[in-house]
Formats: sequence, structure tokens, C-alpha cells
Amino acid sequence: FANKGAFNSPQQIILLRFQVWQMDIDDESVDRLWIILKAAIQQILRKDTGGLCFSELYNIAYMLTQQRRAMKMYAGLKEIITQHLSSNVKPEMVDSQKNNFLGILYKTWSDYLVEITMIEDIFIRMDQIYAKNHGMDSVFAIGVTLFKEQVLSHSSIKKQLQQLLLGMIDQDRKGELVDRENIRNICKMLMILSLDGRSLYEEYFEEPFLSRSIKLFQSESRKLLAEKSADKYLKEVEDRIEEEEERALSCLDISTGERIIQVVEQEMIVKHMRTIVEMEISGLVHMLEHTKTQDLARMYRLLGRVPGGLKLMCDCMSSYLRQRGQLLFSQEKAGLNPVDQIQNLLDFKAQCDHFLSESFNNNKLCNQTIIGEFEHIFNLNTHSPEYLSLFIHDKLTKGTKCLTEQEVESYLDKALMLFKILQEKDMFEKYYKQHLSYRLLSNMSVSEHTEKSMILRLKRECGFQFTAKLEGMFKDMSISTTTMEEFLSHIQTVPISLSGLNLTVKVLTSGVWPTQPQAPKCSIPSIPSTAFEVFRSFYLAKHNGRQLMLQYHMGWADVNATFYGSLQKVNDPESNAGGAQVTRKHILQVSTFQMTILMLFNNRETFTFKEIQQETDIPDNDLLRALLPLYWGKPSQRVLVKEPDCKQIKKEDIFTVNDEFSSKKYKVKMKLVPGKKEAAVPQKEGEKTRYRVDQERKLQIEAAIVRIMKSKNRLHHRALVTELTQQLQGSFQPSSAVVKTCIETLIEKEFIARTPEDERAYVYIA
Amino acid sequence: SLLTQLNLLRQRKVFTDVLLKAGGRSFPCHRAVLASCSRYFEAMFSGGLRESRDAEVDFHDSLHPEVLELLLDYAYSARVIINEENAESLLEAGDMLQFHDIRDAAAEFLEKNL
Repeated sequence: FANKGAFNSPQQIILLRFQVWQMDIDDESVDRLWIILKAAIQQILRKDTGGLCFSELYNIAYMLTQQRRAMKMYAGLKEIITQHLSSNVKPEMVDSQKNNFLGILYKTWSDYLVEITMIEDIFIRMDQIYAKNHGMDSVFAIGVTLFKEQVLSHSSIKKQLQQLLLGMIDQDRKGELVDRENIRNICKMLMILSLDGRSLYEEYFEEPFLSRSIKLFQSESRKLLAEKSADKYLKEVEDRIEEEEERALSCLDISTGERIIQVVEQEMIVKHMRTIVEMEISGLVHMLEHTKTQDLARMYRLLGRVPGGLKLMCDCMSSYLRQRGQLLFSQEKAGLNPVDQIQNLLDFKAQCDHFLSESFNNNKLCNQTIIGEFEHIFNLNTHSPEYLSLFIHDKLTKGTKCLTEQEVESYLDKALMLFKILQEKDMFEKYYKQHLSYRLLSNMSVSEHTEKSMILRLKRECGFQFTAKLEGMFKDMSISTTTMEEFLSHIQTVPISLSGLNLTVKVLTSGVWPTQPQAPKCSIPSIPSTAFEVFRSFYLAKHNGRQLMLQYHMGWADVNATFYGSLQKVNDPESNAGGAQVTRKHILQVSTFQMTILMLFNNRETFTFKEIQQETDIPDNDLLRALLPLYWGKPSQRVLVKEPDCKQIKKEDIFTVNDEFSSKKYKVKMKLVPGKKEAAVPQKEGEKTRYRVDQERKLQIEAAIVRIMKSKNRLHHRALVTELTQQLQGSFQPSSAVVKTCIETLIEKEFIARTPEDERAYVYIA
Repeated sequence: SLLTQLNLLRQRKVFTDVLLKAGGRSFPCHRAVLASCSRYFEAMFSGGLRESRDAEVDFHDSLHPEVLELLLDYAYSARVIINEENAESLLEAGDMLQFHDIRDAAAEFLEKNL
């Protein structure tokens, strides 16, 4: 008695004899008992069960099993059921084919199921001992199999069943009223008749159902595509999927749901998806262009269901984004304001992000597609580093716009998004330095806090090395403030006069700022120049060995100016009778160059251009740029008048002070060159920056090659380039042509050499 | 527990819906409780044969009343004490009336004590 199962072996059966049936019985008694059982089974199958006693029948079947008569019962049972099905049930079904066939079939089946269950209950012991041990069907399985063999497989019954069932589904699809319960019952019957699998259900119903559906959806989608736009078509498909899902759930076997949906997907989506996506006027591009968020969401949902659908959609989106993006942000659009161009690009990105979250469920592939295309568009334009920096400059410059701190921060976040995909990050840094220095030196920065929050963003993205110089600029600024305080208290203690001049000096560390080693010349007037010399000796006394160099082109001055006015007209009732001269005082905010020019007029009333040139010693370009805003602008706001009155300057042109200068403001700011953006970064500055960056890149590439070769000792060209790209990707992408020249340089300098065996491989020379 | 409550109901003959008889003794029971622990009783009460309608089921002499009592106590308490005296009867009755747990436990007992 090791376990429950052990009971079923013959030795133990002897032990388990029931009290009443203790003795072996003879064949005659067996036959007599079997006749009782047989009659009972036949009664059950005739639905005439009234007088039958369960315990009696059970006991007989139990006893006969114990007496090893199970085989006889098993065979006899099979025979009785077969007999009943073939001579009673089948003819009845064949006869009822005209009238409510499916209803009668199900009724017959469910009655039969009850009968079989009753019989099964009587033969529990036979199932447990005999059928199980001999690997034979249980009573229930015999009943099911016989029904299948004797009734359902009859050709006319099978045909009738299939036709009626499919016909009902056709009607249901058309929306006609159908007895769905009937369908559900028959499907349930077919599943039970399949026993543990689903073979019979498939053969009798599912396979013909699916192949009929394929044909239906094929013709339906062909018809719809000919008539409808992409969005309408997708709506139909979605409705179709919903309907089929609902039908399968409520009247077919649940496992068919998945299969029929696959058919819809295959026939209505997979086979036509390219057509749908690329449909003119209504396809994906149309939806994107017209912000059809819902339609796009539907397309995403439906194409996302099938393999390759999303990929196809993303490919189409890619080419649209690329086209649209290039139109929006191309090199050729140089005329447009860079800040607006970046804003346009950001707006476009925001629109794409709207689709991403509202239509595409933040799908990873869609996101990658969008980011990838923006990266392409943004890096295709060589102005991008400069424009991006200008965009940030615009937001960080105070005065012009009234942005809240949150607005500025949100712009900076958006800018950072573009920065992340920017390849030429080193180039960006150069421009950023220029713009930052402008903001810091001319006190135009919106706030130090905001500036630093931008630097922090850059630092998080690229590491501290990237922002070291930018942070150095802030450090110089704060040191300069301290230095100036010390200087002011210093001159109190010594008998030196600055002749009433307020001197502010910012000491900029060379290399950190975008200063020029050769600042343009200028002979500034003696008062400021003397004042500066006082500062110089103060500073150099403190910091032995340092050098100070004036960057005239970066300086500013506030100059007191007095305009004496001209004679007023006599008939002006408001003015003093007889006319008088009106003296106006202003503070002019000018550049160091302009200050130098203007102070000449303290000595004399008129100067020719040539004289100004000689006196100030300012290089022509800078001089012209400084002069222009002084004599050319609104006539009333010209500080100088030129004779002749035209924009162009000739050597002998004469300049005088415009005494009729008037302005509502007391403090008047002179712009260096009209146009704010150009003032920040003159066009030529851009070209120079690129040249400088190119030179720096070469050095960086060479240094990186030496580092790599030193650690690897020997490398093939391709491997070297891969390694190099990896090392430099934080700041820029080296072009292969530049890499080649750098390698040549290093070979010449004997840092590395080509290997004798392979021209394309290099070794490091220690 | 639920079973304890049902057993109390049985003792008070509340909601009992069948009377089992053996050797002259009667046992009022709930069909549901019997059907839930024996396939035999489940078949007997659900199949549509006579016992499913009759108020009484009489085992006459085919089942000793004490054995039936043990089986019923087990059905209402999930406990039965098997000893040398009742082991063999419980084995036989458990097998025929499809109380498989009792059959297995009795068989195990006999195996150990043989």
C-alpha cells in the first residue's frame, strides 16, 4: 500500500471485496447481473429513468469490476450506445434537416450528454480500475467518440451543420438578427466533441469559417480602399476588429478570437499597409501636416498590431520629417533671424512630441525616429552651433523681453535638447564663450543665477572640462569686483587723482575669454589712459610677473555730453521771447573707440575723417564701425554731423558736433553697429571662429591619436578611427579627411609610423 | 469553521434533506455535504435516478451502521479514528462509496500493522 495507485493492482482487489459479494460468482450469475445493467442503460438512453435505483446499479457494476468482468461490460456498453445512436439518433437528425436543424441537434446532444453522464456515474469503478489501467477511453470519452462517429460524421449532417453555422455568421456580420445562443451552443458542443484538443471544432467549424473570412475581408478591403480615404479605411478596420473580437467572445470558442483577428490583420492591414500609409491626400503625411492626432493614433494602434507595421510608419515619418525640417531649418535660409530659426525648429519638435505622446503612446521606435531626424536636420546646417548659442543668448540677455524665470528655464531646457543632439559641441562652446563674454562685460546678463543654471546643464551633459573656461569667466568677474574695491580704497590712501573719472576694470584671464592677442590699436585720450596706468601699477604691484593688455574693442564708457542747441524760432509762443540757446545735457553710453573719437571734439569743432584716423590711430574697420552710429541714424539723434550728409565716408569728409541732438532719455546708448544680433557676433566673427575651432580640433585629434597609439601600440587604420570617434564624440565628429592629415603630420613628426607589412596599420614610436 | 457549523445543523436535523439508513439505524444528512466528499454520493444525488428524488436511502444490510456512522462523522469533521477493529471495514466501505481519503488511510494503517 505504498500509495493510492497501488490499490488498483489485482492482488489488492481481492482484499477489497465488499461484504455482500464476498464469494466468487459463477458465469451464470454474471450474465444475469449484466442483463439488469444492460436494461438499465437502455432505459436511460430512452430517457425512461423513473424506476432505476442508483445504488443497486452502482453495486452491480462495482461488483462485476471486482470480479474481473469489466472487459465484458466495457464491450457491451459500447455496443448498446452504438446501437442507440445509429438506429435512433442518427435517423432522427437526418429527418429533421429541414426544420431548426441546429436547435434540434443541440437539444439531442445535450440530452445525450446527460444520459452519458448518468451511465458514467454507474460505471465509476470500471473507469477507475479497468479503463485507466488498460489505457482505454473512459465511459464519457466513449460516449463522445461514438456520437461523433455515429451521428456527426454522417455526410449530410456535417454539411448541414457547417452551412447553417456559417450562414448564421454571415447574417450576424450583416447585422441581421440571429440566434447567437444557437451558434454558441453548437461551438461549445464541437469543443466538447474534440475532447481534450480542438480538432473537431477546427474541422467542422473553424477552418471553413476562417477561409470564408479571408475571402470576405479580401474583397471588403479592396472595395474600401477604392472608395475611402486612409483615415476612413482605418476606422472601418478598427470597427471590424472590434466586431470580430466581440463575436468570437460572445458566440464562438474563445480561442477563435485570436485567429480571426489575425485574419483581419493579415487581409486588411498587412497586405495594404504601404498603400494606406502612403495614400495621397489622406495618408500619414497628410495626417502629420494637418495635426490629425486621432487619426494618427488609430494608424499607430492598427499598424502596431502587425509585424513591420510600425517600421513602415516610422520610415514614412522619417522622410517627411527630414523634408519638412530641412525646409524649416536649412543653410540657405541664412537671411532669417537665427533665434527665430531655432524657435521654428523647437516648435516643430514640440509638434512631433505632441504626436509622440498623444498619438504614438510614447513608443520607443517613434521617439528614436523623431530624435534621429532632428539630429540629422540640426547637424546638417553648419550654422547650428552658432544659432543655438544665439538662441540662448537671446533668452539670457536682459531688457528686451519680459520673460519670467520659469519661461527662461523652459527655453533653456529646450535648448539643451538641441545641444544634446548637436555634434559640433566644441564649436558651440566657442560661440557660447563669445556671447557669454558679451553678456558679462556689458552687464547685459539677465541674472547670474540663470546663467549658472545653464552652465550646470552643460556640465551635466558634457562634464566639467567642457565648462571649465565658462566657469573661469564667472570667476574673473567676481575677482574683478574685489580687485576694484581694493583699488578704490587704495587710491584714497595715495595722492593720485583720476581727474574725476570712474574707472572700472575687468581683468580677464587670457585663454579663458574670447580675447584677441593682438587687440586693435587705439590712442585713447590722456585722462582715461592715465587712470588706467594708475590701475596697472596698482595691479602689477600686487601680482608680480603678470601682464595687462587693454582690449579696446571690448570696452565701454559713459561720457557726459553737453549740446548747446541752436537758435529757436521766434514765433514759438512757448519759448523765451527773442529766442535763446537751449543747452541739453546727456550721458552717452559708447564704446571705448567712440569715446576716443568724441573726446577729440573737446579740443576743436571740426575734424575730417583723415584727421580722426590720425588722431585716434584706430584701425579702419573698427573706426568705421564706431563712427557710423554717431553720424547715421535718426537725424535728431545723431551726435555728429557729417558733410556731405551721406552714409559713405571719404577721407576729406568733415565731422562736427550736432548741437541739435535731442533725445527723450537722459542716458543714450550708442550701438556699435546697427542691428543687435550682428553687434553680438559680427558675421566675420563667425568665420574666424570656425577657423580657430578647426585648428583646435586638429590638435585634439593629434593628441587623441598619440594617446590611443601609446596604449594600443599597434592598430589598423579602421580600428584607430573607431577608437578616435569614440573618444571625441563628446565634443565633435572628426572628419576622415582631417584625421588623415593628422596621421600624416604625426608620421612626419615620428610619433607613429606605418608598419612595413601593412600600409594601413600604424605602430607607436616611443 | 463552516464544517463544524454544518455538523451542528446535522445534529439538530436542520436543513437535512436526506435520511440514510443502515441496519435499522437512521442518519439525517445534507446531500450537499455528502456529495462534496464522495463521488459516489454526488453521482447518486445528481444523476436523476431514484435516489435523487427519494427522501430516504436504505443500505439495508450491505453496510454496517457503525461503519456508515464513521463515514458520516468523517464527512462532517474531516476526522476519523482508525483502529484494528474498524480498519478493514473502513477500507472496504471507503473504496466502494468513494471516500478515497478514508480508503487510503485505512490501507496505510493495515499495511503498517500487518
